[in-house]
Amino acid sequence: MTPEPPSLPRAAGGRRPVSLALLGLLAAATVLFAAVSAVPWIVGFAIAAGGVGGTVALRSTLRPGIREIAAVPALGALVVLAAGAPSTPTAELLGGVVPIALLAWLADDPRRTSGGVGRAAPALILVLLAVAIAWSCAFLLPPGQALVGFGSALLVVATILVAVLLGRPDLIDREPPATA
Amino acid sequence: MTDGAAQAASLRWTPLSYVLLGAGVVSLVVGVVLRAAVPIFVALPLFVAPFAAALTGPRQALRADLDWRAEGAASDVRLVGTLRGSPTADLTDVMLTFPRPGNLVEREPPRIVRSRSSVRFELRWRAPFPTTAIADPPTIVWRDPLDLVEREVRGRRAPLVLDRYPPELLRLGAVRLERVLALPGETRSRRVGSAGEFFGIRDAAPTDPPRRINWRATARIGRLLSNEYELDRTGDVLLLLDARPTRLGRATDDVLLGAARAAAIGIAESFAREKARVGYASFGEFVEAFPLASGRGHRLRLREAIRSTRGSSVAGPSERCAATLSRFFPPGVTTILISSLTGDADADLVPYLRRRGYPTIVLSPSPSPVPVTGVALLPEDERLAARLERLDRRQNLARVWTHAPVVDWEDFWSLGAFIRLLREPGRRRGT
Repeated sequence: MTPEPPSLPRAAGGRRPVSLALLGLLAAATVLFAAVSAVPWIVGFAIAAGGVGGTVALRSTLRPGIREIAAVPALGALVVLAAGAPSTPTAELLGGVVPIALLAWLADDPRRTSGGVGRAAPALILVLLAVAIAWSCAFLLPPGQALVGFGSALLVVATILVAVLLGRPDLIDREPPATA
Repeated sequence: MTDGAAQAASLRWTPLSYVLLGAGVVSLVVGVVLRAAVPIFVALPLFVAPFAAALTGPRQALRADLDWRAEGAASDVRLVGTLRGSPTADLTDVMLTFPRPGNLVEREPPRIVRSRSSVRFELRWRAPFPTTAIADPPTIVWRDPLDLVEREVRGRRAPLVLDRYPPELLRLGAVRLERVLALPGETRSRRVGSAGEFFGIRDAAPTDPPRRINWRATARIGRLLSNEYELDRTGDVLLLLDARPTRLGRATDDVLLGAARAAAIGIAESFAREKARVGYASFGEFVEAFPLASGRGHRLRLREAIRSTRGSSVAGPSERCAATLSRFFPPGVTTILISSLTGDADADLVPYLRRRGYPTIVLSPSPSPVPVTGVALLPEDERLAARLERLDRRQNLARVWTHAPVVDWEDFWSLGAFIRLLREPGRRRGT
């Protein structure tokens, strides 16, 4: 009988175990955010658990199309909780940190090489820096309705900028021109 | 580089980016409507993350060359390869997507081993039937660890040709064929090979059979030596592929034609390797013919011609095929007709060929092993249908047997009966 040719090793199902610490961080941050929100605690907890659980469930499916939208339940829960949250420094801080925890958890993809969070660290730090600047401005400046309006105006400008950049991703591309 | 290639290598947003930006917009609108700051804080990282991912990724398109090959025999298709990046390229976050030809099925999920400078992979597919397919190179993209932006990886990569036919065809070249040259005689070839007049001695290769080892020379020198022979042309052969539609339907016809194409490539390669002159013709509504010739260029042309043969939607009359062939090929050339013999006029083709002077052997791929989809039968009905089908097939083959020898090709991974028939010149002439 012809011997089986040597082959490359294969992980079980092509996946590796996920980091439970990151999942715990995401769950804890979302539950904490639900706790500081104005919605009744049991409803808030249910929304947080449903959002995180739904995201975990969608991400564990094998269908790539479903996995692309796995973040939707967690993001939906975040928006719902944020809508009912009072404008306190803690709620604002958690509102900025929970999406970063979600991004960190998404970076630890079991179908990719381990160490995704470490490789995504520069991007995550950039996001964290933006949130830190916004939060410290909101916390240090005197509170008031004007600040919300000011921030909203800035974000509308940012949204328009995003819309423009979505059509022109090459604006931030460093690829040299073909004729160079 | 074309505009399309430049576009392909530039940054692209992934679906997850759109999901984040969409959620950010919703959160922003909620914040503005409710005049609350927290939804705006939620929106901020969602807006910033895709741009942060783009800014912290590689500044230019990565370059990596693909080196891959096909291994395995018969139904086993194993593709192994390595993607090697340029010295500065980091391939840790490179994703490979392998398009699989439709006539192959996946046996196991791909095995991929990554390092910073290379990605090694192994794919295990299975060919349910003999086939000839082209595996396109994988789509290779770099994707940031957050899955927010991606960009195509440039580099050299070529498609792979996957020919899978019964391995016995590799030994077919030793069959002696009749010549139809105007001045027959010894036709010396410049090639050395496994049969013919003694040419010289060389170091033995692991693939050399014991009969080729020169044992006396081996004993004298102290290492294995093999004999080499001057090949002479063995004769001429015409491969005729019946590409007419049958009553079995397009799907089954395509499977049978795929197996016929694979067999034709195997037969043509084996004879061409031994310097026989090989001609090829396919017959759908009309005949497409490639006259008898030998040589490497002709082998490549034949391979392409056979691979590009497709089933015709209209069946041409059998007499047309025989009449057209007589304009391209001299009478007397050994003709191998590959036909499922399930079409209404398939059985008529052989008498017409015989009448024009072509000694014909029929290799008939059987439709029995091809699964029929879309029809649900009870087990007893299925048994009855299979029995009726066998009887019908036997009757079809018997009708053709009165004119030429027929090989019922039912086990698609074996052609032993066909090779045995070819080795007996008396039987293959139908005498």
